[in-house]
Amino acid sequence: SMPTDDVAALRLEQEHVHEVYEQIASHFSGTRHTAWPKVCEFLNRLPPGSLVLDVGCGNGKYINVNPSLIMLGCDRSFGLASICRDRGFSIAVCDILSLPYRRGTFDACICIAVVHHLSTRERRLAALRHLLDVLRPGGLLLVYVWAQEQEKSANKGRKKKAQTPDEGPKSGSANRAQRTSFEKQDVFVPWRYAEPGKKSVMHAEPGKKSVMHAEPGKKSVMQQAEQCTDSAAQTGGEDKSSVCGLEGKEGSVFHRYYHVFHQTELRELCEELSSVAEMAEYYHDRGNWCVVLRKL
Amino acid sequence: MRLLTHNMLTSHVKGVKNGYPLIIEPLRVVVANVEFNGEFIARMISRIEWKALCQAAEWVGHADGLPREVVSDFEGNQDFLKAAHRALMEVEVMEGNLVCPESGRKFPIKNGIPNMLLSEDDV
Repeated sequence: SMPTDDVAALRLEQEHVHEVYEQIASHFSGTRHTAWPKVCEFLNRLPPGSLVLDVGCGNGKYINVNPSLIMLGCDRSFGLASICRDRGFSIAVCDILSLPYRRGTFDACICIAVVHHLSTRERRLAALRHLLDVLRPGGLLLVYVWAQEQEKSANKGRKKKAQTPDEGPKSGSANRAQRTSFEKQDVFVPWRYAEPGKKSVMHAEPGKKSVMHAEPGKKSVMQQAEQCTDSAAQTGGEDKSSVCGLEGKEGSVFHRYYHVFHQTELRELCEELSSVAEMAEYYHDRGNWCVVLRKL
Repeated sequence: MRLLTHNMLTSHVKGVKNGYPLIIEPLRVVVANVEFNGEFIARMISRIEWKALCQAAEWVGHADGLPREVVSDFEGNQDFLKAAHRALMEVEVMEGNLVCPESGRKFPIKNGIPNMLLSEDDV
């Protein structure tokens, strides 16, 4: 069951987010090289010389997209921060719920695929507040989170869920292959570790074909996630055998926690912050719900 | 850790009111070679807390040649921009500590990366 307090939330996130990223950092970095066009658009629209903070910058994918920007990055993972440092980026390790930056300083902030790793609604809302804190008045925040509705026809997915709330798939594999949404919102997505250079089956990004369409013998991220969630629920969310030391890590499966957002959920969180920021844009992009907020 | 990064960081320890700038205790400092772009640095000047930059440069032993104040026509002043570039982008603290000026809480710098994580007691 999902955490009801901060201590439990921290414990879950420590095991199923932070420790996982530390273990998989180099492998993860190797699979994350495509800068998403709409994020690049956002960065390229900013005036030259804008001071920008990339919170949860990962391997620094976005830090050089627009070289006229003064871009700083931060990440929770030492492994990923090291990769950024080696690439010459200005980087620090910190936690989104405790950002150590001067308040009201940045012209813009991007936070791509981070907030969905927070395991309570309170923490996700707090994250948005902290992100807005570092912006100057008029500053822009871009947030991307995984969508429950993986396909762009988001309404279809939502209606399906409403019609069959707790029903498991009844018609077997054919039905599963057509599903375009995560059944549940709190999921554990598996990552099978492979040494750099080796192919890995289970590291799909949202919005990519492998997430939605089950290739023969391969499962979609949603199906993997649901199986994980079921087994994680049985073992109390702890699968210690999957977190190994460096040797023998090849083939190990790590379970990353995600809270996938339904269609209006991110909007609803932003509406609670309407005294601090206004929504400038809201859209679905490659399996993510996305918002641009303008600080008042 | 670049001094550009340091200029933007502040102590976020619970209850601290004057956490900026963080004091630097350097153990190992290197000077890297970063390509100079005058326009880029010129745009940066107005975003920097210049006094904090000077203090940081002093703490890491690289204050020589860094003007104490921003000159009035800095956009066209190559010497000034190059000195700013060196301090902001080329001087790197590889090992050391950042220290909260109010609480004394230390944030370690290892392999050039400042660790700004707080424990539950600090927040």
